[in-house]
Amino acid sequence: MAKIKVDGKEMEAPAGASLLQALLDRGIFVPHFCYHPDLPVDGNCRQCLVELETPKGVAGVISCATRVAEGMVVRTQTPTMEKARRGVLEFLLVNHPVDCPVCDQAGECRLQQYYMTYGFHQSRVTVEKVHKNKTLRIGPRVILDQERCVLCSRCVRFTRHVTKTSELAIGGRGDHSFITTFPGQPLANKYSVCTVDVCPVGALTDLDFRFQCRVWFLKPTDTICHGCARGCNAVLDTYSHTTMDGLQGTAYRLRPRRNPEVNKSWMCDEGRLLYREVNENRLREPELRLEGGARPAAWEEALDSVVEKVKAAGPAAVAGLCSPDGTNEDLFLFRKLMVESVGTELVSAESWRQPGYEDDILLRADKHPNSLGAQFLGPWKGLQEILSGIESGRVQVLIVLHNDFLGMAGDGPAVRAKLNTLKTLVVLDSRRNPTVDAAHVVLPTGSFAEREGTYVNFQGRVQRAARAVLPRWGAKSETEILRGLAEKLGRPLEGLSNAMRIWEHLASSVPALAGITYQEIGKMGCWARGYGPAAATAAPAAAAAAQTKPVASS
Amino acid sequence: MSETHTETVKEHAPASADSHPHGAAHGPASPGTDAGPGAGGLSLPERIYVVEVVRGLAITLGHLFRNLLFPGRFRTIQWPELPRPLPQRFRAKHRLNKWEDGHTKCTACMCCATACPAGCITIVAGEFSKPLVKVDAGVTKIIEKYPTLYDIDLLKCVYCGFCVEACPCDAIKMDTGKFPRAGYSREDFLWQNRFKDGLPTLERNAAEA
Repeated sequence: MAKIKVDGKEMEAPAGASLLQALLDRGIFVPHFCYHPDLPVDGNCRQCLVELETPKGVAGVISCATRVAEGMVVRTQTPTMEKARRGVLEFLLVNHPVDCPVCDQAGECRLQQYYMTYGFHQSRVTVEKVHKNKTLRIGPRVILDQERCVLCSRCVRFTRHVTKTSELAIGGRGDHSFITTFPGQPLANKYSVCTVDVCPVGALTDLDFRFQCRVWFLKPTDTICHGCARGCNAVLDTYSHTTMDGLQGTAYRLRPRRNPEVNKSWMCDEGRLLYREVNENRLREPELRLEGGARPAAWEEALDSVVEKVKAAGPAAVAGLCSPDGTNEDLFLFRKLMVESVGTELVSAESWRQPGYEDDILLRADKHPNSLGAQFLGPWKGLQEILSGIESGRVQVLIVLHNDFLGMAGDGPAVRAKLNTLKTLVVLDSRRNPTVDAAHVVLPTGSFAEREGTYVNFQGRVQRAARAVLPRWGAKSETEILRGLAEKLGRPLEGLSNAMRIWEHLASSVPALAGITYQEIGKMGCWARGYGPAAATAAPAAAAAAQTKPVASS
Repeated sequence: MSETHTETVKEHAPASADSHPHGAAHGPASPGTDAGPGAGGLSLPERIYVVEVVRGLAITLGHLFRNLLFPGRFRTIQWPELPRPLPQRFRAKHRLNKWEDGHTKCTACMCCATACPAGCITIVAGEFSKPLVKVDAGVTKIIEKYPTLYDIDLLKCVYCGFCVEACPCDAIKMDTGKFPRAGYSREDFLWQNRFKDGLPTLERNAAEA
């Protein structure tokens, strides 16, 4: 640590670190375009100027490329520096089209934000602005507007240093410079939309979000991507504004949230599209498909019919199936319902989802967000055990929570044939899928946006996803449904009324999560007991970690 | 309104202001200054009622005779057959402005919907198949965005004109001099606009004066 003096205040900062990052970490406003904490420093935008006392006198330096050293005296708010920044901003805006009203970045654009903070100059440009190409489709997911670009090269550096695919480059000279792709080499890597995130202006826009919604209509909620075992920290943007009331709660995009331990500032293109699960193909009301055809039902009636079937079959003839897609809280509650309220031991959390693409950036082959969490909450029975129970006629009622085992079964018809002898298949899910289609009782749950809970990623990081919207349409939260069933079965789940309460119970009964509180998890998550870099140095814990295997990759 | 009552109001109005020079004299200690002689603050002639009836009848009969004697200065407005002249800046039903070639000037920026206090504007944005190039005041504009749907629920609208103020493209105006009159359903008050590549494909003006 080095002692530095900023605007007359003494503070400590790590020696050798970027001065800009040190200032930003301490909440000091320094405008910047090209600097990004997860990309190499380039120092081309000249916007992060600060005043530095040197032996030769006071100098204006770019803080991103200046390293913190002992005894530095820095001033960020002097009139000279403000004038210098304003001058730089004016240069950046010389050829900018200023089409904010139609630009998707408006509202989260640095150029706009800085102009409204300290710019306020009248344009002194009397000649026609330099025109470049607009609406260039440079990849399957990204559109480039060369006129809006400030040439900060963040996107170029992203493709060079993170994905190492180097699709983007800067061509031309002077004010005719532009971002471009190489001929025949579109921006088509699996992380291409990250270039849109890093773009400080509206030069790169996401084709999926383009013109869909203005950002100021959206409410951000901290969530966790559930696309794979990485569990990227993400922000889900849902509609929340008084105008266009019918859109309330609609999800518009999923974008990364910085967490240096898990996903840095990145997220894969595939994961971003998962926001659609909130809007599309949703189950809107409970459905009964018992004797006499399918019909929608009220919640009370649907729950009553489940309880009736469970009671008629008897505890030994009931089985439960959840999956490593669920939150720790849901899995814990589901197991508790099955074991304590129903009285069966036949509960499985096996998923038949096939492993997918994996690389060394983010994507993991295991496509379940909570494999490790499910393992912590184990041991579980196998899915085959349930199926053979059904075949032998021992199991008559199967309750399924978020597990599309019919859709994922390689031999779908064979599994379906086994289900013929099953009297009642109860499915709790948010969207229509083959398992829901085969169900006798459908109980609609909320999507991931309507869920609150924790996931444990493949590294052993416990992360919390907040609820963005209340269960939409006629859906109910998993907690409410499971508690409702327990109550109707005559053995209510006492004291487990919400995710936080369930977590408290969970943290006191699962060794790997022992004593972890929501406060400790916070926004950035925390390591499960025996996991993480600190645990890796301790030999016994490392051995324990080495033994663990993700549930679903087997 | 009687003289007494007017006096009362005059005396009371400034008493609420702190700077009133006689404020101290009119304190709570002198309730007698309230000239209102009885319940509801009505004066004696008002309470007798007859005087007021006569005064009211005088106005009615005055109009009757004036209309009989001078039909040219008839005061009744035959609305809706004869529209009432509106002030120049009257905020009437909205209109979407067009370029000379018929393309809508609206770029679906949603500034109007954002500014709207009633939340009555619904816009769905679309993208031109080929960007529209326009030269406006010597500046070349390349326009990529247009509204595929632009609806205003005139039952929700409070005609405040904020949308006109907010519009950066001068696309929405409230200068039609028309306003919805009557309708048989809520849909009758929905002003609907549909566009394809910036050109109107439908405009539904129901229940309009």
